[in-house]
Parts: sequence; structure tokens; C-alpha cells
Amino acid sequence: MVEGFDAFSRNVVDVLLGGLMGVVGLLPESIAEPFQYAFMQRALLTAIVVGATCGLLSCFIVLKRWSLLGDAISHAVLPGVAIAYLVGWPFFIGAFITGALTSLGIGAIERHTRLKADAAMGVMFTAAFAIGVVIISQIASSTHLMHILFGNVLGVQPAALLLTIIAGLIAVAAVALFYKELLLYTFDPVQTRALGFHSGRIHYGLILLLTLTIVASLETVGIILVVAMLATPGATAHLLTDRLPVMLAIAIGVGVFSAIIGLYLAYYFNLASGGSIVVVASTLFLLALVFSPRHGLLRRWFRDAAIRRAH
Amino acid sequence: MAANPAPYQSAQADSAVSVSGLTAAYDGAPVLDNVSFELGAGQWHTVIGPNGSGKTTLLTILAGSLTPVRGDVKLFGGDPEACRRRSEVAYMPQHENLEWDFPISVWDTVMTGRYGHMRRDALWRRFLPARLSADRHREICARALAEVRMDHLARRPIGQLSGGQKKRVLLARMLTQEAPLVLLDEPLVGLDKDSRRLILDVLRRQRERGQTIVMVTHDLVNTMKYADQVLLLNRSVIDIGPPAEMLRDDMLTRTAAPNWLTQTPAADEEDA
Ligand SMILES: Nc1ncnc2c1ncn2[C@@H]1O[C@H](COP(=O)(O)OP(=O)(O)OP(=O)(O)O)[C@@H](O)[C@H]1O
Ligand SMILES: [Mg+2]
Repeated sequence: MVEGFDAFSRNVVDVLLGGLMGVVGLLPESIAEPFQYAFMQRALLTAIVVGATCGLLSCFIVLKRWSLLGDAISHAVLPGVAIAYLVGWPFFIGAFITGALTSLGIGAIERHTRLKADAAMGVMFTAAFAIGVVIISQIASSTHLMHILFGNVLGVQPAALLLTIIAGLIAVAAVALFYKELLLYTFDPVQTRALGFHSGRIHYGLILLLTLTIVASLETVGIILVVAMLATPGATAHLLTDRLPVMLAIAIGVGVFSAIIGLYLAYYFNLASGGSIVVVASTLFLLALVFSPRHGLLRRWFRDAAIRRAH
Repeated sequence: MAANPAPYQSAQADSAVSVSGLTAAYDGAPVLDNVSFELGAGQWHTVIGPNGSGKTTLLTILAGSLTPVRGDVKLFGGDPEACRRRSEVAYMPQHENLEWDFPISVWDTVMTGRYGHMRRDALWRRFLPARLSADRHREICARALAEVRMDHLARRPIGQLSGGQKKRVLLARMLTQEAPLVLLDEPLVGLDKDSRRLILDVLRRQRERGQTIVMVTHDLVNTMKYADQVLLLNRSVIDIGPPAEMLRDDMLTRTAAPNWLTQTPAADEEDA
């Protein structure tokens, strides 16, 4: 069955890459040069999908103050990856199962015991991560572990790429269809309940979506850094606009742009792809922090200086 | 405003809110203790009690965000959740309890009041973004904004409004819901005379159209002027009755008497 899926994904991915390369072919020779290699084509497509999906979700993460939760889920994914590796499943599936189980478990702990969310996360997810490290150190080489921890977008296989695309499509569809619910729940949970929406379903739905996105991004940016992609684009966009649809668009743009530029850097300087993508995203954030016309530091300095002069 | 007179006749039951034996707690510490009362439909009820006496807690239970430890709540004689799902309960939160940094415009904020109704739009329409929804929703939204005189600021991000303007936006959001029962948590705090007037006038008109109003406030003067019934609350029900009886000094002293829950000094009368 796994083999059938491999063949199927190779076909689908080939079609998609054909389309993508049609666009890349329009670019100047010097820019398009790295993409003569199949692995770079796959890496580019993965980077775009992951950047867009993470950017989209990051807005809700930032507005809901869930960065910590994102970090926690990404760590809880490791034992799933290890076990999937052991039994020969796509790592994607194992990762999603343990990630989802632990993130749902955390809600339960928080509701039914006196532990607060941060303690529950701290305990549950470090434990899961430790189990993952123990298993992986037994079964896999250290380069393999490095790839899981820090990502290796240059080595993405067609099957993993297709799963990433599917996860991205699910995320986009869910946000598009339930935009009103997500907006309402992140903005005003009490109003959400007063209007009779099932806030529990929205809550866990968002957590599952978050888990899915994390799992989809693993190969690209890796467990340690995925949370950066789930916080930085949203935080950057939040500095630049006061409207949610615009914020979503900017965050997606930041995610995709960082992923593509990071991929270039990784290719030319032989860097870890996850690291270079996150460095680009963080640089964009710094720029927004300083130069944002609305909420930037520069503007604040000028305003304060103007006020001081006036007195 | 003259648009549709008395649209709230659908609420047939005599009692809008009926609560019995209600006990609520945060982390095990009871905040409401064996609270029972009944609020008649189509009337203006005011809830009065010192800071920390459980007023907000009571409203959040009615709005469905807090599950009581014990006790029974009925809205219009039926299941409260069913009422909420029919958008029959509108809630205006206490000012501090909202994310004012959220990237959303005044218009979109007010529009969220219609989300419950949009959910019942036909088929695929319920999945549409609010700006593509049926004209009816947008008309109601525009009318509500005009009624609180905020239409000129519709495009502003809510974070850039003054405190009084924010309150008016929340009031407009509440109006768009066209709910037979509205819960308001201290809608008059921090407002100047004109804004207070505006809000009270809007509520009075709503009351005349048959809406049931449950308002938490520290404003005794306006309670005297507007309310049909006053609920004195301090962890449990002190008393309930017409304003002239409830707002006597001895009753207020009894309500404000400190109990082990209310560490803060008794409520002052704001700027009433
Ligand atoms: N989220 C919470 N967690 C724990 N305790 C809470 C929480 N919210 C309120 N309380 C406590 O419950 C009690 C009642 O609070 P509530 O907000 O209902 O009072 P209130 O009557 O609305 O006061 P105010 O006039 O100041 O708005 C207070 O003692 C408060 O400390
Ligand atoms: Mg309160």
C-alpha cells in the first residue's frame, strides 16, 4: 500500500512541479539556475506550501497567544516520528497521532486537575520529547535525528511532499470555511458562547489544525524551529496592519518569502534549511519592528521626540 | 429606529430568566452561593452589588461561558443553550474583558453580532465571509451603527477608539443581534453624560419594543429612573423588587456588607 502511494504521489507531484517550473522558467536564468535539479524543485514547492500554511495559522497562534502550545506540540511529535520509523509507516502519520493525542490530553489535564496550562505543557511535552529522543537514539543515525530536529527541505521525497500539500489544503479549506468561527473565537470567546457556537469544537479544531501544520512542516524546518514559523510571520503581520484579512495575507507572504529565500541560502551556502528559513523570517520581523508605519519603533521614537519638543 | 416595532413578541414565556439553586465557583472557591430568582420578560432589570460580588460571574453563566457547579438556569422557560443557539441572548462584556489590540474594524466588530443569524443562512451562504453575506445583515449592521452614532468611524480599528466609543460599538454589536434578552455588564462606566444618555435611550427604546434587559451597574440614579426591577446581589440574592424599595439606604447597606469574598471596599456610586 505504501508503495502504491509512493508511485501515486510521484505522479501528482510531477504534475504540480510541471506547473511550478513553468512559472520558474519565466524568471531570469541566474535565479532559475538551481531549479534544474529535481530535488530543488521539490524543495521549492515544499517551502512554498509550508511557508503559506504556517503563515496562515501563525496569525491565530499569535492572536490567541498560543506560541508556547505550538512549541509544545512540535516536541510531542517526536515519539510519533520514532515509532512510525520503527514500524515502517510514513513518519507523518505517527507524528500526527502523538501530536494530536498529547495536545488533546493537555486540554483534559487543564480542565480536570488543578494544574495550569503551562505546567501541564511543561511536563507532558518534555516527557514525550524525551521518549522520542530515547527511541530515536536507538534506531537511527545521528544525521537522521539531526534532520528531524532541524529539518532538511533539500531531501524531501514525493510522498512526504504530497502529504504536506494535502495538509496545507486542509488548513486553507478549514480557515476559509470557518473563518467567522475562528475570528469570533480568537477575538471574543464569551461572545462565541453567547451566540451558541460550540467553542470546545472550535478550540480543539484549531489545536488539531495547528498539529497538522506542525507535522506538515517537520521535514522543512524541523521540530525545534517550527514554532518560529508559527509565531514570526503572524507577529510580523500584526505589526503591519489592523485588519485580520490583511494580516493573514501578509503573514502568508512573509512565510512564503522566508521559505524561498531561506531555501536559496541553504542551497548556496550549504546551510541547514530550517535555520536559514527562520533567520530570514526573523530578519523580516526585525525590519517590521523598526520600520512599521503604524506600530514600529522608529515611528514611536519620532512621535516621542516630537512630543518632547512640543513641551 | 421606527423600523420594526415590537419584534420581540416571539418570546412567549412570562419569565425571561429563571435561576434556582445556582452555585458557581472558580477553582473551588464559591463565588455565587445558592442563588435563585426570576426575571420577568419584557422588563428592565438592574443587578446591583459591590465589586467582586459575582455580578459578572452571573452574567457569564447566563451567556454560557461558565458552567455552574450546581443549580438550574432556564431562559424563556426553556433550555438556555437552545436559546443561545437561536441567537436570543446578547451579551455586552465589561470593558476590561475584551482584546482591544485585535486587528478588527468597528464595522467587522459590530458584524460579529450577526454571526449567529448567518449560521442559519441557507446552505453554502453560511460559509461566506461576513462581507459577502446577505444584504439584510449589512443593513442591520449599518442601522445599529447609526443608532449609536458611530457610523463615521466604521472603518477604524477598534483599538484606536476612546473608551466611550468602544462602549457604543459594543452596544451596536448587541443591537444587531436583535435578541429578546440582552445582558449588559456595566455599560455606563467611564462615560460622559451624553454617551450615558445615548446608551440609556437606546435601551429604553429596546425595552419598549419588548426586549428584556438585564444590566449590571453601580449607577443608582439611573437605576431609579429606568429599571422596573432591581436584584441586589452579594454572593447570594439579598433581595429583589422594585427600585423604590430596593434602593433604600438600609437595603444598600445590607448588600454592601462585606463578606469573606469581597476584599475590596464596597462599591462607590461611580459618578452617578
Ligand atoms: N477568572 C477568575 N478566576 C478566579 N476567580 C475569579 C475569576 N473571575 C472572578 N473571580 C472572583 O470571583 C469573584 C466575583 O467576581 P465577579 O467578576 O463576578 O465580580 P463583579 O461583581 O462583577 O465585580 P465588579 O463590580 O468589580 O465587576 C471575585 O472575588 C473574583 O475575585
Ligand atoms: Mg464585573
